[in-house]
Amino acid sequence: METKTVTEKELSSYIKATKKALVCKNAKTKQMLADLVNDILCYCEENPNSTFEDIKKHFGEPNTVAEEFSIGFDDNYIKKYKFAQFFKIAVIAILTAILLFIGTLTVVIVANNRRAAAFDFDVEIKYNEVIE
Amino acid sequence: MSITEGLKRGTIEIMLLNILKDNDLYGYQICQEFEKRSNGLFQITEGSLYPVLYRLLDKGYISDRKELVGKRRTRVYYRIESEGLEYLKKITEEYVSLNRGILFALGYGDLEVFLDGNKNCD
Repeated sequence: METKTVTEKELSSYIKATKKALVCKNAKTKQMLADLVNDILCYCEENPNSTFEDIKKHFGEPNTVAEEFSIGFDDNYIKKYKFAQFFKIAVIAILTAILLFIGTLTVVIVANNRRAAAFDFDVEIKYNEVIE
Repeated sequence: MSITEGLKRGTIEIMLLNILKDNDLYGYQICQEFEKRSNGLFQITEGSLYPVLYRLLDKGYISDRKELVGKRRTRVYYRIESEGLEYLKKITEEYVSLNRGILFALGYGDLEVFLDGNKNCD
């Protein structure tokens, strides 16, 4: 993937930065990033002396690429995507809270039962001592 | 978003399908064709192109195929389908009609009159 003047590291950092800036992350964005890599390599083949700065000038900064791509999607799609993400986080948070509550409750009940059992044992010993 | 960008967004589909009507092309080539056919007046970046490409793919107006380039790299070529040609015809008619309506509303008269007027000014 290395070209004459653009290093693989630079290309990789550009793609990572674009991916990070994307609003939606799904199969389409994965496809877009793959297509972007191909197009950058095509550009480098046709412009062999191009530098990383030339690439950023032609394709845009990662934030710009991500923004243009996101704008291209239907507004409703982005709203639905954001809602789905929010819903997912909310469900995970609620489930975590429930699990924590159940866990805490279980620990408290077990601790209480052990204390109760120990008390009964003590009472039994004293009763036996008295009888003897 | 600037006014020009907003106008461009609405016409990318029609331009894209028109370009693919002649040849199967990949993303970078499509962007170059945009610029070439518009004499440099209509430039599009890959970031703006991809959503339109994928939307047209989902609708079945275009199809894609992968071609091996070199040892491991694949290049995706896009081709217009028959449904895409029908859609292109429909939106071209709508676009021309809309533009004529706008020119009339702006007081420029018909499209030919507007173009003649501009030619005389040059």
